Amino acid sequence: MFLEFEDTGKRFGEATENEFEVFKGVNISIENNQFVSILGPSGCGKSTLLSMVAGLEDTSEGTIKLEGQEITGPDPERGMVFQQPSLFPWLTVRENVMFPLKKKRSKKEAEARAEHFLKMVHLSSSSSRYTYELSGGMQQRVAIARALAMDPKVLLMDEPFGALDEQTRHILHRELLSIWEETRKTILFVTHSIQEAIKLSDRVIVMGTRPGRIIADFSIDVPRPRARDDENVIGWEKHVMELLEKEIDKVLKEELDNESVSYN
Amino acid sequence: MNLSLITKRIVFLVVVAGIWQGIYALNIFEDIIFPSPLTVVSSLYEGFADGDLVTALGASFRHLFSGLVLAILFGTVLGVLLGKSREADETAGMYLVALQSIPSIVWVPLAIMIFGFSEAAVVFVVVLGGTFVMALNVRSAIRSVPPHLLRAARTMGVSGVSQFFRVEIPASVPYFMSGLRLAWAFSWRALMAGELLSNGPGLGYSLRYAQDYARMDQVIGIIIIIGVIGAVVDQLVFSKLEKNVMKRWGIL
Ligand SMILES: Nc1ncnc2c1ncn2[C@@H]1O[C@H](COP(=O)(O)OP(=O)(O)O)[C@@H](O)[C@H]1O
Ligand SMILES: [Mg+2]
Repeated sequence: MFLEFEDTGKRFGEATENEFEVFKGVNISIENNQFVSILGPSGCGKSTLLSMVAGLEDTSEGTIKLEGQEITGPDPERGMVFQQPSLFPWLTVRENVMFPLKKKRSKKEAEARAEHFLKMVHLSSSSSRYTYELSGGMQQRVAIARALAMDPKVLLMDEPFGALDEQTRHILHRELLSIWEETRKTILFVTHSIQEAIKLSDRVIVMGTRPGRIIADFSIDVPRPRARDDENVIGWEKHVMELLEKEIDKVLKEELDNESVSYN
Repeated sequence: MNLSLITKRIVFLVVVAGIWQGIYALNIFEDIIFPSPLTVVSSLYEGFADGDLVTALGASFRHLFSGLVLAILFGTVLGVLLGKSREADETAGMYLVALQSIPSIVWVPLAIMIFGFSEAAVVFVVVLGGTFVMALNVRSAIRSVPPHLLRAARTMGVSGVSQFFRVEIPASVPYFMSGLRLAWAFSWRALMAGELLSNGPGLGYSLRYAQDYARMDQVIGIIIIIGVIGAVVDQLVFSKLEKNVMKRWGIL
């Protein structure tokens, strides 16, 4: 298997009084070249799980392996795109994309690579601009180009379009799919939007909350491009919605309970 | 800046000078403590024409430059140390705040006892005036590097020393610029305190000299120069620089 979670668990504040278990016993096997979404209500541990694959958080229990190698820290073989674009404002767009290539490739090669991936996200005409001049959608495209420029084995995306307006998100969905078709990178895509997950992915892994765990795992075999009003798409959306409603109710109920406790 | 704003400011200045001249003409105060605006202007002109004020200005800028450069250097090193090491900050951070709150003029007797009535004493006071505020700002600059940038850098294989140079330092530039502007302002005040009690040359020394000879026209003239330089350097150099940086770094 390409990317493998074996009994993976995560606790924050281990061995302190605020120890908090986000999830445990996560078992997932992901094949190469697949577009996989992780879907779940906010707070269920999606970002934590993705950060563990990135190597930014360590694993409390079990392992995560990429091509048989246990993940122990960050590495350019795993590129990440965050909800915030996280670009460096003191660099131009091109320099941002070249950032991970410094020292690893010659300047000329790095420049050529940056141009290539900027073209892929349709931003070659903005390569000399600074990030404050770009819209949120453009910044996120630069972040995608930057991650791709490292030629990672897997692309991790944590609600990358969550902060964008509906129309921009639509355009970026199309772009991401065409990039994926061109590069065939394995993509692990975190989202809380059912529509987004079903529109984009080969496979949707649904997480529940309190405790965090995997509650369902679907292969979406609807041919792309997937129209919004395609009845298969609508069917899937309904199905997942029903599944998640219980989880969301649970979150709301707990929040309300906490509220009433604090008012008493 | 639009024209009407400039006009308003000029008119304001003319009105102030007019009132000043009016009070002077009433002859309530003796000339020696209340010179007319024209006397002040002509004493300034004289000072520049015979070169006295030029020499004094030159000396002041020399003291300021050497003092400020050293203050920026020391302040940056101290600030980076405190910003990077929790241990160092817990131990010494508090004292830095205490040192920063000491008015510069307090250092003057100390400086004179160490360096005598020399230019070195003045530079010493300027260094102390700027170092602590610079250090405090550099400390917050290092601390306020957005964590998401550091995380992003780590996913690209950039950590440790190379992260410090490629991410933390450039990300600190905006607060560093604020530190620079404050260090300049504090050093400029310290410079005047130091020079006032020195044996010259320097603008502060000229000020006390004028006082010794009861030349109120010169005293007011020099005070005006000091104020104008302070405002001009802040507006034309540091504020502008800071604004440009803030804009580019996406903070404004
Ligand atoms: N560094 C941390 N320390 C302690 N708790 C954390 C930390 N990061 C996240 N959590 C907690 O872990 C849970 C899952 O967070 P997260 O992975 O961000 O969820 P999601 O991305 O699904 O919204 C939340 O309850 C959050 O409060
Ligand atoms: Mg999240």
